[in-house]
Amino acid sequence: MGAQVSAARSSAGLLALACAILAACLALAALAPAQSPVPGGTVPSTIELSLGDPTPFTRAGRDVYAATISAEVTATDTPVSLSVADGEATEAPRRGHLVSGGGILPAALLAAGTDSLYRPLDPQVPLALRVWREPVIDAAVRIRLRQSAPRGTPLGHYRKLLLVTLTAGGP
Amino acid sequence: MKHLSTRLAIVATCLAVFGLLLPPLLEARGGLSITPGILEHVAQPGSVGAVKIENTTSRSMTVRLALRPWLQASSGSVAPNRRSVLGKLRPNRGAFNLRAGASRTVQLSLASRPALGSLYGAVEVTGAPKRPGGNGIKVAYRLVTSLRLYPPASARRYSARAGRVVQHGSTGHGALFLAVKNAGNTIDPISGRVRISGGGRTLSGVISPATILPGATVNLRLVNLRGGLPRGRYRVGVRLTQAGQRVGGFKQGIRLR
Repeated sequence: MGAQVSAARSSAGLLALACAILAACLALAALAPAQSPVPGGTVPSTIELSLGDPTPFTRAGRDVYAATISAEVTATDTPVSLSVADGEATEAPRRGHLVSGGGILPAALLAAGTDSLYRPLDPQVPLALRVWREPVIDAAVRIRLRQSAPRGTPLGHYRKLLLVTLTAGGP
Repeated sequence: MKHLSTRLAIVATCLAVFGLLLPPLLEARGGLSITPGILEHVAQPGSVGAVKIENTTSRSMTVRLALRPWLQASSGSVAPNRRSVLGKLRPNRGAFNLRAGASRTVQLSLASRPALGSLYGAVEVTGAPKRPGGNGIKVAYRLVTSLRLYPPASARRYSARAGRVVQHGSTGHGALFLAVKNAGNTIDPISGRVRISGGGRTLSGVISPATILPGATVNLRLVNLRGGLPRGRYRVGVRLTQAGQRVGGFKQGIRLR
């Protein structure tokens, strides 16, 4: 009789233990989705500009020659703007004009973004090519260059250093 | 059957080789980068942080770093002042060579507390490739990011001073502008409300938030007229707010032309 009681007590104890384990498992199962990792993270604040080599000037019409520079922009802080300016001459008449030694092409070099209009590079203010109001990743821009060289333009190896500027964040 | 298995093996091999080669091909092109894009710190003497400059191109570059004040036009547009540098703020390296694929961290330190209690400027990094490609045209990089050294919370001052209301254009297509000077030491946007009344008509509007640098004056657009108010005399009431606080207000009489 005593053995039956102790057996019954141990069975009840085992049942209680099993119930406790089951309850713990159910509780863990209920908690599990809340503890699983949530997709996301911190994006470091950064800006990056990639530039391709300028293509050689090719004839694009009567007395007009064209070249392009490919650019790619990544920026996490807005507003983002891409502009181009003469990178070596700060004063007229060399600013914005192709030069060859002492010679200067009379017509200013023109530049434009992928969709914008051509504008001369000789003003003091850098030429805006594109503005973004949202963060951008690897946004491609074609910087288009155009040079007018009428018949009679002195021959020579003309050159120019262009400064391509990426500004992000503002004050 | 044997041919089929051989073809499958060739296709699998091609895919594997393509998979191995594609990522390097995509990464072949690089550029110049700065991290972080916005450097923020409290304006206290000592180290205020660092910027990491990375050259991921295939050419070495000559890199120059300058810390410049902003120039703000009355239209609100800003650009770094290339004729000036922030004297109190110094980088530990101003110019260096950066090999292809290399990076360098430049530490910035503030010599003394700025007079206004805050300092806002631009980090300007120029990178000139040592053997630039191209035929006739060469390119150099310039990256401009933001530097914000805020005043300590206890020293923040919010203040704005309004000038006169000015009409640009006609009453049919013009607008009213107000010159507002940020007389505080933060760059919290300044916004507000405007109410124009006279001749039995009233026009109310919200002044869009504008970031004005401490000490700078910007013409804020009050309202587009669009024929809503005929020529005549009116009374203009303006209330300016910054960081949720009222920082200025006035009532002025104007004559619309």
